[in-house]
This record gives sequence, structure tokens and C-alpha cells, in this order.
Amino acid sequence: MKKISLLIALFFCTTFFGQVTKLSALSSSKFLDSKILYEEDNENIYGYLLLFEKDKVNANESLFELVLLDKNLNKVGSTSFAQEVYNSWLIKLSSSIYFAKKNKDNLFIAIGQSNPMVESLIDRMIEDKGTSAFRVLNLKDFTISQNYFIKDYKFQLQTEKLDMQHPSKVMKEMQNMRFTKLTTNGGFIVSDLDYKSSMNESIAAFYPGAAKMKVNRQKEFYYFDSDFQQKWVYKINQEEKSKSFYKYNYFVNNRNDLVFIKKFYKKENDNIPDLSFDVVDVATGAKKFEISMANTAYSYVFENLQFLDNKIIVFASVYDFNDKGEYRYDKKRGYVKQVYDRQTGKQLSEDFLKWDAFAGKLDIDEDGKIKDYGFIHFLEFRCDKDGKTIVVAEGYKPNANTKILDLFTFVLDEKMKLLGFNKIDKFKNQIDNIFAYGSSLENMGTFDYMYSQNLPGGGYVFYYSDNEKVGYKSKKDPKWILGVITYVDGVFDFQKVPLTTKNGQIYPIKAKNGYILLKEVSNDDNNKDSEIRLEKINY
Amino acid sequence: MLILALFFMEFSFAQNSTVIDTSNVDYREKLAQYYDSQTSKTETRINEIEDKKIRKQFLINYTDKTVAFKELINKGVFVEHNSFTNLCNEILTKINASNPTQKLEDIKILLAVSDEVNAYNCGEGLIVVDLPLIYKMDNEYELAYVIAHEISHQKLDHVYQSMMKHNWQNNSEELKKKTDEIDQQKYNKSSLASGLFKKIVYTNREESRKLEHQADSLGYILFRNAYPDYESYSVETLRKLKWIDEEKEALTKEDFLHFFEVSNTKFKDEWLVSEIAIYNYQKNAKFWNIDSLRTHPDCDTRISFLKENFKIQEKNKSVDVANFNLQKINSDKEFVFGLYFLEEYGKSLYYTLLKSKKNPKEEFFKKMIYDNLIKLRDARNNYTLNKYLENEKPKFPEDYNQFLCLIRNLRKNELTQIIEFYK
Repeated sequence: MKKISLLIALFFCTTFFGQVTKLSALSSSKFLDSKILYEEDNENIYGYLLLFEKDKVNANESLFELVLLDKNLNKVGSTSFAQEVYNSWLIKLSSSIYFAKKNKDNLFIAIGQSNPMVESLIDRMIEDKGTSAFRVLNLKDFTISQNYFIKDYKFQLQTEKLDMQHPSKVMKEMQNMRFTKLTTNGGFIVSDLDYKSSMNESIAAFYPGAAKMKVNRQKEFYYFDSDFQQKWVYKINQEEKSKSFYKYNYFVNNRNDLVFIKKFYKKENDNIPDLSFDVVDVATGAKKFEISMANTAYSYVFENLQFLDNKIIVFASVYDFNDKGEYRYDKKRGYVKQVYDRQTGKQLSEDFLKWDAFAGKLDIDEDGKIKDYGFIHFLEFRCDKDGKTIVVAEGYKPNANTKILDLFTFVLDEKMKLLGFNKIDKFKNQIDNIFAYGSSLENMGTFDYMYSQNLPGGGYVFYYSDNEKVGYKSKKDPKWILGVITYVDGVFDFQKVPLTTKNGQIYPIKAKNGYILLKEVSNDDNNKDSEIRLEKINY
Repeated sequence: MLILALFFMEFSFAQNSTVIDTSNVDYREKLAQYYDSQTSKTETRINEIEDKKIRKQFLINYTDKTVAFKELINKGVFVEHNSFTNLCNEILTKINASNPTQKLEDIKILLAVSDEVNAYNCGEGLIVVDLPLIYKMDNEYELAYVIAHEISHQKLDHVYQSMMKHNWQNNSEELKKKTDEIDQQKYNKSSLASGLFKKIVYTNREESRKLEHQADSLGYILFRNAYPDYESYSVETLRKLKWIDEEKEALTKEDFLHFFEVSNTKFKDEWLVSEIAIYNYQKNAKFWNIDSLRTHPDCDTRISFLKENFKIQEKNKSVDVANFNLQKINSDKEFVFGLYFLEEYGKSLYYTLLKSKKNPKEEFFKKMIYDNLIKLRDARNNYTLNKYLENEKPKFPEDYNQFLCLIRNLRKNELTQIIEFYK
């Protein structure tokens, strides 16, 4: 799953009264990090979690405070706890929220230390990071547990402080700890790989171009329920001497189905492993069926998988093979939609959208190249109950300095026939010294499309930025604009929200469905006040 | 602003009723001049402070305060009211005449358009009474006690002395030493600083509560001298202040249906669904002891204090409230218009609905519903709705949260149809 990156950190330190300014500053907590909390469905926002450092207790221990805000930004409660920290003059580490997931009346929260630069990179790459230690925050009384570690496939409460003065000892101990990812239903997938290997595998699973690290072959993973009881073990790669092997990564959980990305490597350095999805019964651990992306006529590159009632819908890019059996980025034939029966795994349909569907609207050839323009890359697929698919795409022109062009919306029918087409003019960013095609540009986060949400009462909203990107070939004073597209009752509406004010800047932040948080910050150095507003999407 | 006031006047004249005029530029200019002359006196006083550091800091703080107050004057928050301006001046004259030794000639009462129910002394001989406070009073004696209390703050020089004290405190060598010591600590710095900080804040708040008792005492004396037969209205007023913020009326689901189910728009129950219920809000404050933070003693304590110290008998002479009530006849309209003037369109609409429920035939309220909805729609179109409509909060009454949800849950076409209905 792609990470939906926030534009900025959400909140900052609390302030006290101004009479005794220095004392007030000294007694203030230091803001460290914030995370959006989702409901169990992973779609609706439950609230926001803020992490503060209240105090440094000693060289290797800090007192932290977690503050929970509801989805309307009211404070729900807070709790404090002491945790070990690693301190070194050699490397600057910062504490942050690795992950925070809600399950009924509990929040599972992992607080760890990392290099902020590295962390923000990983953050961009994977949304559902795993952990080897986490705490449980009770949402009824705001008590927080000690850290749970997973040792010997058992969840164990921390009883002794970690010896942070001897990091090598801690690292050694960490090797015995297992890595876990929380499933949407509140269960835990525990891998037999250590933390570092697992993280690396997670990144590689979603990003084919990620640096490869040779790791032990994964032999099994375990499933634990929300009470930390082991339910089943899934065995893989049991033949020790086999040249071929599988890599598995937890992908998504919906109701009773767990979906794993599965890659089959025919040999150790197989550059194009076969991609498929194993659908596993969460209650028993039995494999229900497999959805394969393998195809003899074309090369399918996975784009999106979603559940809709009793169906699983998969979208993939369709490429021609070249002489080596590899696909070519500049020869994309279009997109394919596959529909599977959720119970049996039987493929119910397979339909294509080829570029000739755009004849009359775009001067596009069979490889997807638009004359004097570039290409279109699909970024969002929203499947409606009426069978339609709403697509958001973005144009780009691959070049020595690749250009990001307009935004497009398409409406496709059940059989991928084009029903509606909109081209939305927006700022054209240029990415210097990067020659890349759609998927690579998407992985690099260079497109302006941001994310989508369901709208309460039906319909969707799509957000994109319509301004020069900071850090690119930027002007001195770009005007920032948030693009908002709503699709309600079959009708698109296009709005542009100015984000540059008379005195400063507005930063958009993801909010509950149908809303956007706007953080208004003043440019006035003498009056740096900011306000956060929860604004209703106008639909 | 002028247009708003004119519109209001047009309505009010049609019904031959009292108005508030927020566009009185002449009054505003005279008030600004008066304020300048008063502040220059205080500045002279500050300039006489010997300690250079304290003097400088005091002037900075004082300038911040006066700039903020001047902004209120220029915004038109302070108004002349056809009835209440005279009434307050009569009360002031009576208190002054009955307390000749106190020399109250320099005191001036200002009436403020506000969304709060409050009165305060801001120094400079100025007593500010928020109009909603007067709307909540049952007779002039209650209002007179509030004014007497605020006059006492002025006579006792509480505003100036408090600022002076805080300046000394902030610049004291002892505090600087302690703060520097904490700053030099490597660990537990925040805990140590919080401890000292809390101690200072609590001490200041305790001091503030003492000042309230002083103002209650002198206020009682001023009031008793002016209204000897009505002395027990001092405690009666404090008793009223205890609950003055609480709204007695509420909107029901039927009311919402009545106001928002219009020709083509069917009322939807989900409009009212609040998200507050899904959270367990933590009740105990973690950092502050709330009781120690209060600037005012609670009303029961103040009542006991007065009764014990002045042996007040709770026996009131009967009061004819007919004249007072006549002066309040337009208070509901003035209140919702005041909120509209302050650009509190959400609050204005909510209270308009409450008032309209009580007085359904009043055309003025229908017009205010329309005007507020137009403003809210404009704000929504500009993604600034949150500036004019509060977000639901656990501390708000249930019906107000429902109202806030409803306004936000309306779809664009639904809001348009409702606006059309009230056009």
C-alpha cells in the first residue's frame, strides 16, 4: 500500500501563560511526532495521536506524553510513561511514533528512535510499518502498558529496563525479538525474520527497485489474535535445497480474509519474480485461493486490489513483453480489471481499457503516447457499487527533466468502457535530472495527486496540489493551491482552494471523511501564531 | 458594518423598538479620544516608576493592552444603547451621589456587544458591561450590584496593581536565580520548571480571588449606600451569576425538523448525529488543579463571605420590574444581531432558532436565519466555515452539538434549498 504522506507535521508544543516566559518555556513539553489514527476499517479517521517528550529523566531514559485528539481536534485524554532512549554524540536520533493502530478499546502504539531523515524516507515508502515492541493504551481509562516484546513467538511484557549504555547487548537481544504487523482486524502477523530483514522485505515487496539485501529465507509466519493468542502458523519455503523460493508480505485484511503479496523467485537473483496474492482464511490460516498476475500474452504490473461486497477487484497495467521477456515502460497497452469471487477465487471477468478508447479525446497511440504531450499514469481506482470505476490519472512527459502535467478523471463502466473524461489543467512541475515513467514517478512521490476519501452520504473526494513543488526548480514565492475534486451522484465538481494568504501559508492535512484540516501559518516572524481549522468539503 | 446597522434599524423602526447602533462613528471617535486621555494618565504614572527595567517592561505590557482595547473600540464593539446607556448612567450617578467620599466622577460605563455574559474593569476608569449580561438581569438592582463591584475594582486600583505585581514578579532576582538554576540542570528540567511555574500561577490566582473578595466588600458598601432597601440583591446577584452561563432552553429534534425541513429538502436524522459519543473523554485534568486555577472564588464562597462579613438579611423589598422588562423588550433581537455583528454566524443562527422557537411569528428572526445561512454558505464556499461555526465539543450542550453537526452535514444543494426557503 502506498503511503499517503502528510504535507507537514501536524501539531506543535502546548504553550502556557505568558507571565513567566522562560519558566513556561522550560516546563513545556517538546513536540516530537504525530500520527493519524484510523478506525478498524482503515478508511475512517478515529483521531490524532501526538507524542511529546515531557522530560529527560537521565541519559538513557525520557518521560514521554501521548495526547489523543478526537477527529474534531478535541483533546480526548493523555498519558505519560518513561522509556529507554539511546544517546550518542555520534548519531542524532529522534523518538517518533512507529505505528499506532486502533482495535476496539485499545490503541497499539510503538514508540522508537530513528534517524529522522531515514524515517521520513521509510514513512513515504510504506504505510503499515511493523514493529518488534509496542505498548497498549486503554482508550477507556488512558492507562498504558509497558512495552510488549515478541520473544520465542510469545508476547512478553517488558520487566527489566533495556541496558542502553551497552547498545551491542540490546542489539543482540533484539535479534531474538520477532517482527510483527498489525492486521486490520486487530490480529498480529509475526514473521520469523528479524526486524531489519523484515523491514527491508516490506519495502522490497512494494517497491521493486528498492535496494536488495540478502536475508535468510522466510520459513513461516504466525498469526496471533488481539489477545495475543497464537492461532496458526503458515509455512513456506520448506524445501531447504530448492533454488526457487517465495517471499511473503502482509498486504491487507478485510473481514475474514487476509491477503499476502507473494513473490516467486525462480532463482536467487531473479529480477522479475512472479507476483500473486494468497488469500488466507484469518480464522484457520488455510489458503483459500491465489490470484496470479502471470499472463502469457502480456506482462501485468499490479496497481490496485480492493474488496467490494463479495468480490475482489484487481487492476494492473498491461505491457508488451520485449525480447528478454521483460516489459517496457514506454509500451504500455492500457489497464486490465480482473474480478474474482471472494469465496471461491474464481475469476469472474477480465476486461481491458486500451488507449484507443480515448480516440477523439486524446491523440494517443497504442503505446499510450500522446502526441506532443507524453503519457498518462493511473493513480487512483475507486470502484462504485453500480459497477463504475472512477479513475484519477496524471499526465507526464518523460525526459532528461521529466515534466508532470495535467490531472485527468475518467469514469469507466463495469467492462472498462470509457464513460466520462475530464482534463484538469494544473501547475506543471519539472523534476530535474530524472528520466522516468509512470510507476517509478509514483514511487518517487513526484505526482501532484494526493489521496481520495469516501464522502459521507455517498461519493468521493480527490485531492491534489496545484502549485510548484518546494525543492524542485522553484520560484521564490509560489502561490499554493489545493485542488479538490468531488464526485457525487455521478457528477464531478472541481474546486481550487487558495493556500497562500495575505500573511502566510495554509498547509492541508488529512482529516475525517468529507473534511480537510487547514493549518494557517503566518509569515510574520513577530507573530508566528497559527490556527488549525477543520473545514467541510463543499459538496 | 454601516449597512448591517442600517438594515437592523429599518427592522427595528418598523416595530418602533430600541436598537443598538454599531455604526456610530462619532461615538467611537469620542470614546477613542477619551481612552487616549485616560491612558496618557496611566502612562505618566508608569513613567514615575523608579526601577528602569520594571518601567520598561510595564510600558510594553501596558501598550499591548491598550492597543487591543483600541482595536475593540475601532471595531465598534462598544455601543450606545437607547435604554441601557441611560440606565447604567443613572445607576452610576446614584452610586456616586450616595458615596460622595469615594470620588467616582472619573468612572465611565461602556456597553459592549458580546457573545459573553460578563462585566469587567479594564483600568483607566472604564467599566465594561457586556449587553448579554444585562439581558440576563431581572431588575436594575442586580445590574447595580455588578456595576458597584466593578467600580470597586477600579477604586482599589486592582488592574494597575496586578500588572505592577506581575512585572515585579517576572523581573525578580529570586525568580531569575531559581529559573537559571533549573535551566542549568541536565535532567528533570521540565518537572522542576513545572513545579515552580505551577506554584507561581496558583499563587497569582489565589491573590486574584482575594481581590474579588475585596471588590465584593467595597461593592456591597457602595451598593448598600445607594440602594439601602435592596441590600440583599448583592447576594441574590451572586446567586444568579452561578448559573448565568447555563442556557435554559434547548432545540429538540422536532425543532430542527421544523426549521430545516423545507419544500424540497427532506429532513435526515443523520444530520444530527454527533461524534462525541464514540470517545471516552478523560475527565480529570492531569497538569493543573482546576480549583487552584480559578481567578474568582466560586459564587457560594462569595455569598458566604458577604453574608458573614456584613450580616446581610435576605429580605428584599418588592421590586416593580415592569419598566426594566420594557427596556429589555428587544434583548433577544439585539443579542442575535450582536452575534451577527461579531461575525459569530453559527452562534447567531443557533440563538436565532432558539428565539424564533419562542416567538415563531417574528419576521426579524426569519431574516436573521436567512442572513446567517448566507454568511455560513459563503464561508463554506471559501473553506473558512470553521472561523464562523464552532466545532462540536464534549463540553457543549447536546442540542448545540447537534446544531453544529447539522449545519456541516447539509449538502450544498440542501443548504441552497433551505436558504431559498428563508429568502
